[in-house]
Amino acid sequence: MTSASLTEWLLQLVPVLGPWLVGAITFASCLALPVPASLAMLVAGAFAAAGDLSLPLVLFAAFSGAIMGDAVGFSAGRLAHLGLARHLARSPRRERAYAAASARLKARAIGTVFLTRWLLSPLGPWVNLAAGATGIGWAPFALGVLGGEVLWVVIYVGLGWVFAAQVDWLASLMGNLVGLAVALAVAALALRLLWQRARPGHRHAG
Amino acid sequence: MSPPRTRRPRWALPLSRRTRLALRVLAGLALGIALLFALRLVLVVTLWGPAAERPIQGWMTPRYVVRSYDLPPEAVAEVLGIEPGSAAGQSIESLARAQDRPLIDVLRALDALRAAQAPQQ
Repeated sequence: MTSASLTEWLLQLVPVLGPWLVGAITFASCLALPVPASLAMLVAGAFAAAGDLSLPLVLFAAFSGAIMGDAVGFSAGRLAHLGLARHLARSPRRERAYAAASARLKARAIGTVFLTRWLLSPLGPWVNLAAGATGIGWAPFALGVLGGEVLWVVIYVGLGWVFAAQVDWLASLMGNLVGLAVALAVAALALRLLWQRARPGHRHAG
Repeated sequence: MSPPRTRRPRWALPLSRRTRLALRVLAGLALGIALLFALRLVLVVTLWGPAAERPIQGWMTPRYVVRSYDLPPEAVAEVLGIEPGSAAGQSIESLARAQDRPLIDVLRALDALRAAQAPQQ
């Protein structure tokens, strides 16, 4: 994989730049950039356990980077919202689909945002954009972000702290676990949409 | 957190036939990928095992090496030519550079130390 050398290069910088680098990496990962955020947090936790980095600083930096990244994604979605409204107004069908999707996301905004911070973290950046674009309020978004990012950072830095020797194994384990969760979530969402249409007695029969 | 389930969903998306086909393909693909991840997960847990597989590398710090590979701090410090417990936040690579030693020699010496320690545990 080509990302292997990038990962090595980033790992070299972790003890030098410390918390700042971890914050920059979590920030970038919340913008969907392909950076090894989980490995960086695991390694930073291990360095903290060894006494090379300050644990509170690592936690604070990783958390700050993540919520700033989320805020940027959400704001970008908000900006897109304006252009989107104009685009949608030209097609009633599109407008209806958009309204339905918005209602769906709004009804479960906090839970969706919360879960896509840690368990389904690869979906996080896209949920940020969608949340901004569908006009979800700051308050529910922030609530989901705060809870979810705290969990995300504490899980990875904490695992690195406790199992310092196994960061590679943990990164692989967590990567596959999250991949499995995301794939299952996407499948479940697609199937739900299909089955809800197939239910008899539902409107739009033809 | 769980949504109300009793009501008929008002957020039902208007789906065209093409969209439904796309959703079926998406669901199939996602389930296939889920299976792959599940297999990889089983392999990681059963075959890899939680061992320190990564060789000692230049980016690691002396304290990280001591902790991760369960080595005596004094022995690691001796190999690196530093005071035990010093050089916080300095990588092995930068220590080797400061002492004008080739990094590869330092890493070999640490690996030898690791090999010598292994049978005692």
